[in-house]
Amino acid sequence: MTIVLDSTFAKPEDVGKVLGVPKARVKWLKRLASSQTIFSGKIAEKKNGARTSASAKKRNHVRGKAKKAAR
Amino acid sequence: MAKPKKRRDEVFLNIPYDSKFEKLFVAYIAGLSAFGLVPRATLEIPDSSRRLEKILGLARNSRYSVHDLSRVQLDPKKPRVPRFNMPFELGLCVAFASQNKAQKPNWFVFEAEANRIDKSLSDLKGTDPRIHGGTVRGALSGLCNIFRRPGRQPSVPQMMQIYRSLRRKQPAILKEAGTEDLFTKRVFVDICVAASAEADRVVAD
Repeated sequence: MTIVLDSTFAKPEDVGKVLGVPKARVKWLKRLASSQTIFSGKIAEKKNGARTSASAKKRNHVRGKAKKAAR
Repeated sequence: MAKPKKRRDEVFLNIPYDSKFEKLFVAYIAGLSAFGLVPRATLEIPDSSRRLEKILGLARNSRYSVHDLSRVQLDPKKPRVPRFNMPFELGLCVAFASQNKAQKPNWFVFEAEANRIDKSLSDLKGTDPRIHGGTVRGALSGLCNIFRRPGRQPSVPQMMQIYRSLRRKQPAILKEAGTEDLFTKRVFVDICVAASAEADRVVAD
């Protein structure tokens, strides 16, 4: 027997609401789900060519700017 | 005119919580999320509360229930007893479903081996369990045979994609929760949200 679903497709926010997950953590989990590579945060361990998430790129960019300003 | 209220279907997931079942645990969450369903489990219940009342609440409030009866072995540690929780919770769901005669059967049984349930739970004769053979693909394929969502029907490869993504992100979720145990409330709810986010991306309109 097959059940034809007539309900709304649950989005991460809906699932978080039902299961009692705080909004900030839902946001983090959404970002985690969309990221391509999980990395430890230690740049030294990152191999050349490994893909990083947008947030890591942004962090490195900001770090570079700060170094430049300090020079 | 009032806007019709959106309804999300919750599925009571009745599965064993042991390390050998980790892959299937994640697979069920991935599969249900691919259909836009919300998995619920007894893991959400804190140990201190009146457990049975909470289980009854979960079983009553969930529109569907999925029961995996593949762990029927005796516990290797003493005292060597089988687990009765899963058949017991299945019984509760069957009782709730039978109260509502207008509703179609909403409980589904999964097993690893064909014909074994005829011996372990012969009361279910005439009900065909889904045989997953202890594999992730088998469990996902079983879910695909149960549910159909017009317009947003996930395929088994899409469900596998969600499953693999969850397994890759599992260490980060465990680290964030400060545990190595997958069968905790925090990890369960986090995996459900991550699975839903991945499903929303993978299963297109």
